[in-house]
Amino acid sequence: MTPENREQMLRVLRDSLKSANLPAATPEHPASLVYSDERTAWSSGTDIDTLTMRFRKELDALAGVTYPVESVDEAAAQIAELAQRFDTTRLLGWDAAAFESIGVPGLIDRLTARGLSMVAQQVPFSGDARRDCLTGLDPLPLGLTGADAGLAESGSIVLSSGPGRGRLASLMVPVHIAVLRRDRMVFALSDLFRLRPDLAAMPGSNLVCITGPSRTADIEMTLSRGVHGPREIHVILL
Amino acid sequence: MSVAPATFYKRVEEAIGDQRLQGALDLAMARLQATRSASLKTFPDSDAVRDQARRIRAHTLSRLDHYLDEFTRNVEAKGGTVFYAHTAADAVRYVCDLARAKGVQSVVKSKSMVTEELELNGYLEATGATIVETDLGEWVVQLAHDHPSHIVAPIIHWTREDVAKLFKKEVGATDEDLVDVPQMTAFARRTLRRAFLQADMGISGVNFAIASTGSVTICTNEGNGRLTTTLPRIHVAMMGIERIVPTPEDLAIMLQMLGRSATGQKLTVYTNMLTGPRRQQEGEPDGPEELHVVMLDNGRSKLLGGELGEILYCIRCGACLNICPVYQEIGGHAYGSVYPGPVGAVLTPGLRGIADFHELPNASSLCGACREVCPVRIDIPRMLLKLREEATHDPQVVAKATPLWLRMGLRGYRWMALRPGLFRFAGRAGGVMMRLMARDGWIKKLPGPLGGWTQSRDFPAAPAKSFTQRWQEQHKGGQAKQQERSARS
Repeated sequence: MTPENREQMLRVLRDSLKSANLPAATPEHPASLVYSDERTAWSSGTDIDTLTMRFRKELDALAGVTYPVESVDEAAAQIAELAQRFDTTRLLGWDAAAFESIGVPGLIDRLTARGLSMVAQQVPFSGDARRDCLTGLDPLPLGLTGADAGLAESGSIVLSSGPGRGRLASLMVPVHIAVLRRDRMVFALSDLFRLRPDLAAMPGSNLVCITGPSRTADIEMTLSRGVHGPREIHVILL
Repeated sequence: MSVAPATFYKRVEEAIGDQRLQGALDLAMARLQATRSASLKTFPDSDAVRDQARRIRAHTLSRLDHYLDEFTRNVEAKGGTVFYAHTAADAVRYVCDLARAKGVQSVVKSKSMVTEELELNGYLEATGATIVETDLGEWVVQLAHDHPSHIVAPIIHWTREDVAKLFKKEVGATDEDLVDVPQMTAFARRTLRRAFLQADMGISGVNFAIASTGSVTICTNEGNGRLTTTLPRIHVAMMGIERIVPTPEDLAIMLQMLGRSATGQKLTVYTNMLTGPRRQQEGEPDGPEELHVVMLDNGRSKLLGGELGEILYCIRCGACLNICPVYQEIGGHAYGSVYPGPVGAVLTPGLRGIADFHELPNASSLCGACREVCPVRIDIPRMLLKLREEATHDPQVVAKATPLWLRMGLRGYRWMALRPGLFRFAGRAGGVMMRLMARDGWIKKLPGPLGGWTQSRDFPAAPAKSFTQRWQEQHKGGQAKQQERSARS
């Protein structure tokens, strides 16, 4: 913003605010809303099982699929099974360090051992190279990512972009698989920003909450899935 | 932003006579209301959340200068560019200049009310670029050269068959692509994906911006909001200056409210928060090279300083449309504005002046249902009344809304009504006339300009005896005299 543009904006707004009449406006920023006791207990993360149960119920209602597993080995086996079902060995996804950063170390090694390969995802900045790269990635059937957190109330997963954490793996593909540690579950979005200052600070250029598969009801209010984003979402709960 | 405003009553007439539209509205409105009510119950105390949402909106706007400045600095710190557009022309010029400077040939758009308000597509096309709307409903509207009729569900006035015919004619769909809605959706995905892969620039709206982090939030269910802001090398986010909240926690309150009020979802499928462009230095593998945020004023600061500032609390959920008995009957197009329904009836005359949109505040029964459902409790009826009052002081509106014969007639009536004898005589004469015109006590058609009264209903003929006559008969004797005495004193 140029200094002139900023000055114009501030002058116009300050002029207007002199005569503003805004019902319910307080001079101070309103304090956070404190939820009921039940919610606070849930948010503090003491009862992971209850949160996980709710998460599965909510995602199930949106036609998402969940798989509780007990080890990284089991997670890799589940992913391999899904890859087989979709008849592919090449996955668009996060790199090994990214999975380590969300507490799932060694996943990529185990997938490689099972004959799966991850597709390099660095997209060139501009021009035809960018177009060619995106067009090349487009036919890949499966995307694999981790998740930084889960929201039990809505069955959402929360993903931050970052080094080795592309956005495309949860976006471009028809089927998205995500690995989420159950101890990263909070109740609702409000709790997330309160309990996870690391995420509230927006650590990457993109923080996204994904709540079920892509959907639309634009035509005659009829639900259909996968209009732009993935039509299927599979969440492996570790 | 609008169709010719003078034809408001004509548009209403057409909408009410459109059987297909009436059927679609009945279906959609009932469903949207039901899902909203059910989902609000999933809050432990939805009233407390609404109060909080209202407090956040009110406080933020009361310090808008501070929060926009904070937001701007934070976007810039993350490598983005911000532009304050005082007028619509400023905004259009900024985006078109950018497109030209960067050699943009193709643009994809995700839903944005602000760009509709600017009619940006036409200006961008004039730079030589092609523009593709990517929200399924907005794409249909674009292909058909139609207008959206609802904030959240742009093509509720279309049937499946209409869409199928359009896809066949405009974008070469085969019968196989059109057998059912999921197939049509898959066809749209394939066709629009090609546009995404080619696009140089993505233009999105903004649901909320966060001052403390410099983030813009874009909510879509389809995922086109994410593709628009990830695949093209340039992302332009277009927001009204009022779309800002102080912190991520405030954002959470607004988003939890927005999904529930709009479509009955606890959260929109893709709640996408963007903080600056791709951070390549840090090793982010994808995302846009550039981020531009355009903050549009276009009359909003003027609203902020007046009696209608409260309308800027609006979070664009559409709940007031779905509940409004007038919207339910006439749909979105009749309002002749990008922002239809009760919120539009305040916002449109507020932003664009009462002279051209004086009918809109009257398109309301003032029942208060909009205030009741509003997630931020905006007192829409209060502002509708304010606008009606304003209209009576506007000579332009008075000249336009009240034809000469009516003004003369009202003056004549006033003159007569001040003379009791003449008034009683005229009343009796009128009664006789009416009884002559009536059949079985009802008048089916009044002559001349009075015909409006009998267009959709019959008019009862005046009874043989006037009120004054009956009063005198019923109160014969002492009572009547007593009445007269007390009336005189």
